[in-house]
Amino acid sequence: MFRFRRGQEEMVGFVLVVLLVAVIFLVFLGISFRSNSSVEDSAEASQFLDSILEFTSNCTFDDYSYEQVSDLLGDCGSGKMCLSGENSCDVLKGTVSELVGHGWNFEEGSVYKGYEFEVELNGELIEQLPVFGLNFPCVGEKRGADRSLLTGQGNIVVTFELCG
Amino acid sequence: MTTLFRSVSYSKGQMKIQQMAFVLVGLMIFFGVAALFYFTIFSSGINEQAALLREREAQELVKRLAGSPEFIFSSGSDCSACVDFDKAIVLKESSEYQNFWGLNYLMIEKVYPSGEGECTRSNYPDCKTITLVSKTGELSTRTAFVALARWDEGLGYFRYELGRIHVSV
Amino acid sequence: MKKRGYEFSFAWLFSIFIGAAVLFFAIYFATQLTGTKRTESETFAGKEIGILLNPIETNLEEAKANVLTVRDETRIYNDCSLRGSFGLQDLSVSIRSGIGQEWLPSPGGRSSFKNKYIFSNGVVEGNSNFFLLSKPFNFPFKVADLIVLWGDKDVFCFVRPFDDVEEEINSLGLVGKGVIFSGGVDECPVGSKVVCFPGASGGCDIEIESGLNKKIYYLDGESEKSVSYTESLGDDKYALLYAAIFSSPEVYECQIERLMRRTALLAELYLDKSQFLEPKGCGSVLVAFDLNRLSARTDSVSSLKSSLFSQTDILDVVENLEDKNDDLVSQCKLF
Repeated sequence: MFRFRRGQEEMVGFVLVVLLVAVIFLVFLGISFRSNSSVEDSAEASQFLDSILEFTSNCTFDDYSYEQVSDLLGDCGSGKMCLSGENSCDVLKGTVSELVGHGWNFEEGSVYKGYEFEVELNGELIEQLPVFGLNFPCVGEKRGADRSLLTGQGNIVVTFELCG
Repeated sequence: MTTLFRSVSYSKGQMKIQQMAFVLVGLMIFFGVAALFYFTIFSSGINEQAALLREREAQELVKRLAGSPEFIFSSGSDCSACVDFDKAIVLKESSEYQNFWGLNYLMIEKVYPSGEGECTRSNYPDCKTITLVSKTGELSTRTAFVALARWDEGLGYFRYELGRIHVSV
Repeated sequence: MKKRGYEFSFAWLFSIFIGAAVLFFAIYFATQLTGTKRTESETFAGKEIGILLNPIETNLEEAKANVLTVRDETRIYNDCSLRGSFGLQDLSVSIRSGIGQEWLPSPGGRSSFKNKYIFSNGVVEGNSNFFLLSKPFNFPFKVADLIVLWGDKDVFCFVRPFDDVEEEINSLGLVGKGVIFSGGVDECPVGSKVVCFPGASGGCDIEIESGLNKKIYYLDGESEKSVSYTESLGDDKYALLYAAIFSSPEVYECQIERLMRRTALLAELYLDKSQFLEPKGCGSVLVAFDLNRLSARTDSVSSLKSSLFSQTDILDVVENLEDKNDDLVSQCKLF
């Protein structure tokens, strides 16, 4: 009698072991497949960035030609002042804020909660920027795009990230 | 002795049945776990993949449209993200292009600075949308950002504004 | 009586089931992870032809080349039709699947495009690869992207090609992808299509005549046929030359007519734009005049076909138009 019970116990034990291993494996896979905090490329952000870089701002230095956003990046880096007396960085910030505000929806229930717009000149972050559309650090998934521009002031890298 | 043998044979059979039952239970649990694993990984992957594919499809579609000779802006500097807004307003009046792109809906929207209403020659460029094809209305459209380039009389040069193309295939 | 038999215990049964399941999943995940173009191949095999054309069209750049890989031996049928204002580009596909299976008598579902211009033979066959070359056609504004298509069963032997052509084919990575260069006709491999550039002769399948009257002679058919081509203005001048080399004369002539129709409509569009912008200080009467002339010249393409290039002054009109556009002041170019 004892022998027969032991066989059954071994079977139950085996099934339990299989179950346990499977659950642990699933948990492990779930953890490893969870997205980490790296920024994923977004085609939409990429198109947006390409489009806003062409935008004609209201900053001019000669009352003849007006600076595009891509030009303002370099102007801001060298601290230029527009003919209107405004700092080119302020014009850039204001312009980008307006463009993002009109192009994206960050209201309650939207896919994205906010954005970050940063500009680096020769590897260093320009202090007068970045432009944040978020009052808190982004803890969700980030999707964005960046562009590198070679200007007279040096190499500029502009990054636009959406916080999900 | 016979009684003993009889009880042994019955017990052996019962044990076999019980073992088979456990095997079947174990198999069911195993396949259940495998199915759970599959759906956990791949269904979430599929949703994300579908969203990414939709985004890429929209991007490709818009790239093709923006590169189409009817929209391409080649008057100013090299700008692959640009659409010629002046050509678009003129194109609106052409009936030849209604079925050209194989689209059910095609609209160009000026996002910033924004305007109001459908563009005509009289309110251009202080307007919002240029609808070029509208067979089904604005249903399930794909959109993508573009830069709208147009001649600005006051500027004496081309002005670039933020826009969006809406398409529905 | 002693019964002989083997007791098939539950352990064996369990092992067999689990082993089979584990093997199945292992093979399944292995195929998932090999990173092939499964989606593209299956879509193409399922007769979704749009993907053949989407990734390779140019925007403002010069030329693009691509390779399309298919799983099974495939035939692409290129039908050019002149229905409607723009004509139609029809594509259909036949796939050879299974060992020893014959081709189906008729190809699969047809896909029609008004805005595609594919230059190839009427039927292009490939074992596993199709090669695509996309070139913008400027006349003088961009009219369309020409997509030149050939299969891996075709080998084109370019004998004494122009330096620009050799350089471009090299830079696009097309050497060895159905295109080889040679110094003489006898150096071309047997079975290849011999394309003789000026300076090479004898034993040619295609002969190119440059100079004032630019023509391509097809000598490999039952009867000799010829088509005219022109060099586009600017850096990308050999678009039509490539188109003529890699396609049949019938397809080439049909696509030329479609392209000229598109040119006429685009000329009208630019004319409207010029008239719209002229009150705003951008636009030119001179450019408008030449746009009208261009539109008028393209009307005779249905009767002249590609000999439009040699038998009318359309090339002069195009050159004038480009010069006048370049001369436009205040950087207000029309195109």
